Parts: sequence; structure tokens; C-alpha cells
Amino acid sequence: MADILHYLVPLPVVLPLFTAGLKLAIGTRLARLQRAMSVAALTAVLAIGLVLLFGVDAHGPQVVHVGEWGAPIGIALVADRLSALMVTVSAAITLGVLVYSIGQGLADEDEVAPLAVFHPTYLILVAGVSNAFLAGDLFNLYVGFEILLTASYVLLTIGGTHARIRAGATYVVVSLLSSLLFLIAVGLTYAAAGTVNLAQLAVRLPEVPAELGLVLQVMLLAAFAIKAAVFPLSAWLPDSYPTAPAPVTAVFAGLLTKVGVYAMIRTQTLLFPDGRVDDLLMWAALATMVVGILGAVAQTDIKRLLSFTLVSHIGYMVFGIALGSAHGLAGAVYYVAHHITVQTGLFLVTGLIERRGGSTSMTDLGGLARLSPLVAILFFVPAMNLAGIPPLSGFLGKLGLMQAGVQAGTPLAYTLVAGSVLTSLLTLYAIARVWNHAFWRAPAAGAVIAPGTVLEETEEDESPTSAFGPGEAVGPSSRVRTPAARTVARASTLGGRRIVTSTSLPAAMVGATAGLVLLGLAFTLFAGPLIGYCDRAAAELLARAPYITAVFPGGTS
Amino acid sequence: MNDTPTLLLVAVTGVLVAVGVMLLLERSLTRVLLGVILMGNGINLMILSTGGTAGGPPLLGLTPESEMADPLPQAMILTAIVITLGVTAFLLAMAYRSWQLQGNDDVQDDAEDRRIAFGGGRRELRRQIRRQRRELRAEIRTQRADLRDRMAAQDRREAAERAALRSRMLAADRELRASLRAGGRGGAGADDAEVAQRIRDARQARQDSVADLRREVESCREGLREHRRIDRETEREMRRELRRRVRAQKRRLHTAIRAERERLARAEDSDLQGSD
Repeated sequence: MADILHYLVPLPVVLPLFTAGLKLAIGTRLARLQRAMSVAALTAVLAIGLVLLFGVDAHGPQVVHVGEWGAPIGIALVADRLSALMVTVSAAITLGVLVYSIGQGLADEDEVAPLAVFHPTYLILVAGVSNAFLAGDLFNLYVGFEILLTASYVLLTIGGTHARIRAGATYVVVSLLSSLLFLIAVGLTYAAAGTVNLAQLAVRLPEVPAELGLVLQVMLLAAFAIKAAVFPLSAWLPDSYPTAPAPVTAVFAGLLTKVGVYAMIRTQTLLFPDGRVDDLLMWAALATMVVGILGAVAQTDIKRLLSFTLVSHIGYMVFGIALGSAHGLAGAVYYVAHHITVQTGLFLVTGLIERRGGSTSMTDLGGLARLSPLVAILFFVPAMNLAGIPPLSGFLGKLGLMQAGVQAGTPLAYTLVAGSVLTSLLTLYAIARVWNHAFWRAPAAGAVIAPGTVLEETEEDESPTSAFGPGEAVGPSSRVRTPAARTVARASTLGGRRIVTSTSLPAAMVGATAGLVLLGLAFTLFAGPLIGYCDRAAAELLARAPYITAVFPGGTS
Repeated sequence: MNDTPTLLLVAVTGVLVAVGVMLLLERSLTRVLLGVILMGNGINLMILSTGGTAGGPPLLGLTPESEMADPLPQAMILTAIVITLGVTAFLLAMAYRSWQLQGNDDVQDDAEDRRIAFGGGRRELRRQIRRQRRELRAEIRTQRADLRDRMAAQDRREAAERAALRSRMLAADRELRASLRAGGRGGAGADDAEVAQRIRDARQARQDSVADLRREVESCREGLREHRRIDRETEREMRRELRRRVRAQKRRLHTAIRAERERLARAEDSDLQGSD
């Protein structure tokens, strides 16, 4: 078992990539088969992730030298405890979101666009995310980032509506900037240390001059901080994520920022273990938490509000990284796993809310708790989890981080602990506002969109004059056709044109959401073993030796 | 093998990246795209120069190992070029779509920024209201001070009148006493009745004048009270007026905010819908 385990390591990258290629070749034919293929590929990745999770925990980090070119010449894919956990959690939520999106695509009766564009791109995104988690050298990490980013550009602007192009422009330019920074840092690292293999860098970087090392560290951190949306590099996120379709926003919010956090954990522990910028990271974490949640409090649109809480809670993970202790890192790892699930679940529920209530604006919604108790429960549980109500996993993760902070005992750490308590309370406040407005209060007469309303995004190509007449094309106007004649609404379709609000929600969408909510509860139920695993993962990260000896069994030369 | 990069490559890298950054800061997506391409090329050159000086092709058996160029940077550059190509294609498509939709390829305002700018307008209105309120308060304060001054003047006048009254009474007494002494020296006995009569007269006169003065003071007080009442009423009236004006201002402010919101919602369609 142990000697074949490492052959599984490349599969989370290869399988989705291969399936994506196959689907691009098939095109839009064989719709049922294609959906089955996507689900099968991601289920397989999930299974592989679980096997890796247990295997790596038992037998130590697994390494594959791609093409049998030994490190440092070849490309190494490494799965240690952290990578295996991230791959597993990401596979679980991407599978959930895929099922949800299939349900949505079927419900909206748009057969062509999801199969031709969404499914292959989505699988490529998954491959890029897995590649980033498993990358054993800095350049491969860059390639992983690029794969997932390019896929995310397509997913974010899917359908090419006015709002998405507007949001996409910001997103693409900011992401490009972070990629360029990362590429510069990779080049400089190669110039300084003569290698980009992470394990070899871990040995060689302490030998480069300290100031040069600091420059490399800060450049890498800046590149990852843009991806992870750490304040003050977070301004792009709340503006770009909410315009995408619900499944896309969900997977972006859950996964993409966490890839940045993962890269920060990896480089901070493996390459720069001396913690020279820890204080800077602490301040960044504090600012991220507080500024993010204050932004959330000011919002009335649920999607925007959730985007701001996402930014805010990245601060917790950065806090754990900045502490640098075993407890801090374990807390950060647990929090990452918890937050991926909960945040994704919340965005999926928001998609259900939109479908049921016809809007995601708190001012328009009301009375959903009575209209649709199921959606209310599906929202309530992850929302309380996010706010950190005991005994849910959000509480456990925050508690772990705060304990680690108190253990550190510096005034700055205590400030961070106070900041995280404040952020937690404000999160509860923001979430409670959503609950009160959208679910509990009696709906204002005439304010609630009736079931059967068609939320529509009209494209200007429907009017032939405007396609090439710049003066006339004023962008697509979203409008609603309903007896009540409401004027504006936004539909987040997957490339289709309309969503019909209804009282009966598609089973696949509800099922996928419920699955993610249950997964979030599983983090609470199996908190003991999971936190044990995170502790071991953190110990492994801090020891560094297991990783290095796994890549170079004969020692680095 | 010489590992020092050539200065030319470093200089070209610097210039390309600098120009790239400048173009990245532009609003037009096409310029941003050009900036990305230039920066990408600059960074590729930088990676190339990290491999040291040029050498022979890195093929075993063809070039002696000591004369080979470092192959790894070249492999990295190839990958980076492919990635830049893909991203360039995507950005071009997006710029074209943007031009299709709105007639230019400018990067649009951030919705949040716009809201903050709009909030600036709201703040301006609020400042205006606050200023008006301050002005009205100042007016009330001056009126009150005026009232106080007038009351103090009245008090002073009263005191002066009382003092004048007292001095007149004293003068009358003195006169009386003087006339008594004069009477006692002149015809004693015979004039007694006359003297008593005069004293009575004097007293009567004094009492009359005191009563007059009292009446006068009383009427003054009455006037003062009246005055105060009127002042209070004026003040109340002014406060009411102030409140009314503040309320009206607020109403106007809210209507303006609502109108602005609606305008923005209409102008921005889905972007700001429900997000305010």
C-alpha cells in the first residue's frame, strides 16, 4: 500500500484535466454522459484525496517525480498532510458545487452553455487548484496559479454580460498583477538560490544574504496576499465575486482565496521559517478582520455581504500563520478547511434564496422562513457556523486560534485576540441582519417577487442595431416580466438567459447545498480527530525535515 | 563560466517593466493589455539573465558541460510565454466585448467607489443642514443675550428710580425738620397748629408721592413681565421655526437621497440593485 500510494499524487491534477480535454472534444453532444463524466471525475478525485489523507497521515509525505526526472531537475509533486487535506476538502466542495450547477443548468433549461463552457473550464479550475496544492516547486506553483486563474477569468465572465465584463476587468487586471509579481519573485529566487524546488530552497535560502531573503519573502507574500485578499490588497474581491453565477461565486469564495492562504502557509513554514515578517502579518491580519467585517455590516446585498465576511475571515487564517507556532498553524489549517466548506455552502444557499425569493437584496426579501423553511435551515446552520456559535466548527477554529494567540502572550497577539472576538461578534451581527431581513420579518406587501417570475438578463445582441453601434449599446438591461411589473432584478445564470423563481427548488441544488452544510457539521462532529490531524500537519510543517527528506531521500546536494 | 548578467539585459528589463507599469495604470483595457505584454516580456528577459551569460545548446554530447547555457530559465520562459499568450487572448476578447457593450474598453468604476462618492454628496447635504442649524442656534443665543441686557437695563433703571425716591424722601424730611426748627424759633405756641398742619401736609405729600412711585414701579414691573412673556413667546416661536426648517431640510435630503439612489440604480442596472 505504502509503495504505490505515491502514484495517486498526480491524479487530482491529471484526472480533471483529462476529463476537461475529453469534454472539449465531445462538444455539446451526449449531455447526460458528459454530466456523468464530470461528476465521476470529481468523485474519483475526492476518493483519491481521502486515500491520500489517510495514507499520508500513516506513511509520511508522498512524492512523485514527474517523468521519473529526479528532483531538483524534474518537477516534483508532493502530498504532505496539509496538501492532502486541502485536496480532499477542495474535491469535496467542488463536487458539491458541480452537482449544484448541474441542477441549476437543468432547471434553467440551458443545455448548451454549461456543457460547452462551464464544465470543461470548471474541471480545469479544479486541476489548477489541485496542482497548486501539490506543487513541489515554486514554478509549478506559479503554473498551478495560472491554470486556476485563467479558468477563473472565463468562469467569472461567463455569459459576457455588462456587469460581468465590468467586474471581470478589475478581477483580471488585479490577478494579472499578482501573477506578474509572483513570476518576478520566482525569477529572483532562481537567481538567488539557483533552484526553484521548494525542498532544495528550504535548504539553500538560509544561505542567501538576509536582506535578499527578506525581499524574496515580501514579494512572494505580496503576490499571495493579493490572491488571498488580505487587506490592503483585498479591494478587488467584494466587487468582482458577487456578479458571477451562484455556483461560480461559491467555488471562488470557498477555494481560490484559500489557495493563496495555502501558498502563504507553505512558503512561510518551508522557505522562511525565521518569522521576520510575522509582526507585519499580524497587523495585516487585524486590519483584514476588522475592515472586512465593517464592510460587511454596511451591505444590504447578501452576496456582497458574504464577500466582505470572506475577506474578514481570511484575517483569522493570516493570524494563525503570523503566530507561527504549532498551535497557530494547526488553528489556521483547521480554519481553512472549515471556512472553505462554510463559505461555499453560504453562497450556494444564496443561490437558492435568489431562486426562491427572486432577489439577493435584503430590502426586497422577507418572510422566507415561512415560505421556505428548508432554505431557512440551510442558511441558518452555516451562518451560525461562520459567526462561530458553539459548538460548531467555526467556534472551535476561532477558539483554537485565540488560544494560540494567548499562548504567544505578546501585546500584539492579545490585540489580535481582541480583534478576532470583535470580528466574530460583528459577523454575528451582520449575519443576524440577513436572517432578520430575509427570513424572519413579514414580507412587505408587493415587495416580494412572486413565484413564477422570470428574472432575465437581456442581451443587446437581441437588437440588431446595437451590436456595432457603440452609441446605442448601453449594456444589457436586466428586467423582470411579471404581473406585478417590477423594474430591475439580477439573474445569475450559467450562461443562460433567465431564472424562473419557483416554490419548488431543484432537488440537485438543494441536495448539494445540504451536503455541504452537513460536511460543515461533520467538521464539528469529527473535530477531535480532525484537530489531531491538523496538529500533526502543523508539526510536520514546522519540522520541515519530513518534507525535505521525502523529496530528497538521499539528502540535498 | 561567467555568471554575471549583461547590463544591457538588465536595463532593457527595467525599461520594459517601467513602461508596462505605466500602461497598467491606464483606464483602457487595450493599454492595460499592452502593459501586461511589455511587463511579461521584461520579466522573461529578467529570468533569462538569471541563467548567466549565453552558452551552447544544452544537449549532452553536443556541447561540453562547462559551455552549456542554463536550460531551466529557458524552460520557465517558454511556459511563461505560453501563459502570457493565453491571457493576452482572453484580455483581447474581453476588451472587444467591452467595446461591443458600451462603445469603449475602459475599465469601469468600482461600484463601491461610486457609492462612496455618492456618500460624499450626502455628506455635503448633511453639512449644509448642520450649518443652518448652527446659524439658527447662534441667532437664538444673540436674542437671548439681548433680552438679558434689556432686563438688566430695566433693573438698573428701577434701582436708580428707587434711589431717587429715597433721596427725595430724605430731602423732604430734612426740609420738614428745618421748617420745624424755624417755626420753634419764630412764634412759639401760636403757630403750633399751623406747624402740625404743615407736617401733616408734608406727610400726606410724601405718602402720595411714595404711592405714585409705587404705582410707577408696579407698572414698570408689569411692563417688564409683559416684555418677558413676549420674549419667551418669540423664543418658542423661533425654536418651532428652527425645528420646522430642520425637518424640511431633512425631508429634502431624504428625497434627494432617494432620487439619487433611483438614478444610480437605473443608470447602473444590476450593479447597484439592492446593494445600497
